[in-house]
Amino acid sequence: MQIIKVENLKKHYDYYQKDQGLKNSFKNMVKRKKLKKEAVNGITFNVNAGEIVGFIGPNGAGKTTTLKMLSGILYPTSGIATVGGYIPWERKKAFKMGFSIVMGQKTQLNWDLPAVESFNLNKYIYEVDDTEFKRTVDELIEILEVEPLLKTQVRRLSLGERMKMELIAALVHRPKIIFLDEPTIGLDFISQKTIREFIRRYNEETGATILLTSHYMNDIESLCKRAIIINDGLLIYDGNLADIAANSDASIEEAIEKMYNNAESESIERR
Amino acid sequence: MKAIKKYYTVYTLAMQSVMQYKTDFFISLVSGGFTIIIQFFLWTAIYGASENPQLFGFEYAQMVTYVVMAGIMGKYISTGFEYEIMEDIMEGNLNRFFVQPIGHLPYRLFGFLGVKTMENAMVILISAALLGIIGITAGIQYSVMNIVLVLLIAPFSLLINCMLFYCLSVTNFWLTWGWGVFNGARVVTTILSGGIFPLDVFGETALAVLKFLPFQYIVYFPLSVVVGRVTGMDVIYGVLIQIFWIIAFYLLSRVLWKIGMKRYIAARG
Repeated sequence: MQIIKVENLKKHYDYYQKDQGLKNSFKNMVKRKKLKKEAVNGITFNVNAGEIVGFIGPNGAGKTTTLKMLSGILYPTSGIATVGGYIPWERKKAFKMGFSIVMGQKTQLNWDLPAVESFNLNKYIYEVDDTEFKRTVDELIEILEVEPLLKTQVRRLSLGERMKMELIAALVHRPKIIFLDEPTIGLDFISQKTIREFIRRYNEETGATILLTSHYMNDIESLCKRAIIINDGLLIYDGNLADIAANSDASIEEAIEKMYNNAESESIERR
Repeated sequence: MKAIKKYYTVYTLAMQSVMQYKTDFFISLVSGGFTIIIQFFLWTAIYGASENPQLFGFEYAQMVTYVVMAGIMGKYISTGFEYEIMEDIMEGNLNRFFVQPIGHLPYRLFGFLGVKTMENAMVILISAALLGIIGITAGIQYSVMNIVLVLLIAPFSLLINCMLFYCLSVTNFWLTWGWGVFNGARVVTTILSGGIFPLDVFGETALAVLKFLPFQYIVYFPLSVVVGRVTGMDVIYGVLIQIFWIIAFYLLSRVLWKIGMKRYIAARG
């Protein structure tokens, strides 16, 4: 069953440029040069229920923009997408109840209070009943081994500890679809490994569909069979991760780098 | 029922958060106290130098009560969530409200009420003590009825100010950095609401014009009840106008936020 369908999705937005110097700052106050950025420029793919798909691309390729459209934060400029049968940017309550997005660089926890308070708030936000809440959270706490940290103010947690708490908060309602945007960013390799193991286990036990972005190839290689690679807003590969480097001696990383370079020179030729 | 639980949790979480910043709150209370002391001596000197026992229609006891209570009222109605909203917009934290089944306004409102419940319990205790001290030293008898009335009216004042600043926080969608707007707005609303001295000081014309604006219902109206210048049915009319302004600002905020959100979404990649 295809749980995520994306067809020719585009997001263009305007931005402004300022030349260096004070004089140009004054100039900009009167007249600004408007430029168009094609953050996502027509991508198409499907994801089956229960898959973990690695969503790969260099910085600025359009990964986060795509995830923002698929979670209903942004309206696309054009194109169609359905996630779990809903159009995300219609922001229906039933849609919100069934998915979760975790951004490694953002927090949804209350910094002044211990993480359990935020779990508890999410319990009411997602209308989870007490016994189910207790079962889910206890289980997640055990797997991630954060029991001793539960009563610590979130601002006093280390980055890795906080990320584990973020994951628990995001999974209180046992979402069927999860977007993870760089969940291991800035973490030491042991924390990365714990989080990776956790994502795998969660996927196996619940059958949740997971779309994962990461700049650490270790994350992708150990979790995803399939990879979707985008560059400059365009899809350049969609298929088995193992096939990427199958016909050469190069590592997957090197093969992907080559792919970026090819895509770049092609787009220069087109211009 | 489920919605009530949700927002009740937001409310109690905010109450807990406040307690993490209790020192900051006490320091701001103490620093606010200095203005009140200055006001007290200023008006004592003015009345002492005047031949007339009444100035701007206020007797000395009424004036001193007014200016002292105005200082306290300023603390009672003060907001602060506008800076949080500014950060939310700048950092992109508003995304949470698109992704989770929870509304931004109720989330902010109940969080704010949680904060104010804790802070204002303290503010009310302190004002009771201050009124006691002034009463004894200046020999003033306060009407218990008026004090009960103002305790009932003050929450409406709080809500007007809250909705006013919720509307103002929309400017952040355009400005990214709204400190200037908030500080400017705070000075203007404090003066126009009668938060420094009674509006009668500005004269008849100003008083007539200000009747049609929301500001005087934030401070001037409740304090006029305390000093016994507004009584009977006029109290009820006043409360009705307060409710009118709360609803008006609520509706305005819906429209403004809708426009702002469109911009927020368009500006982010």
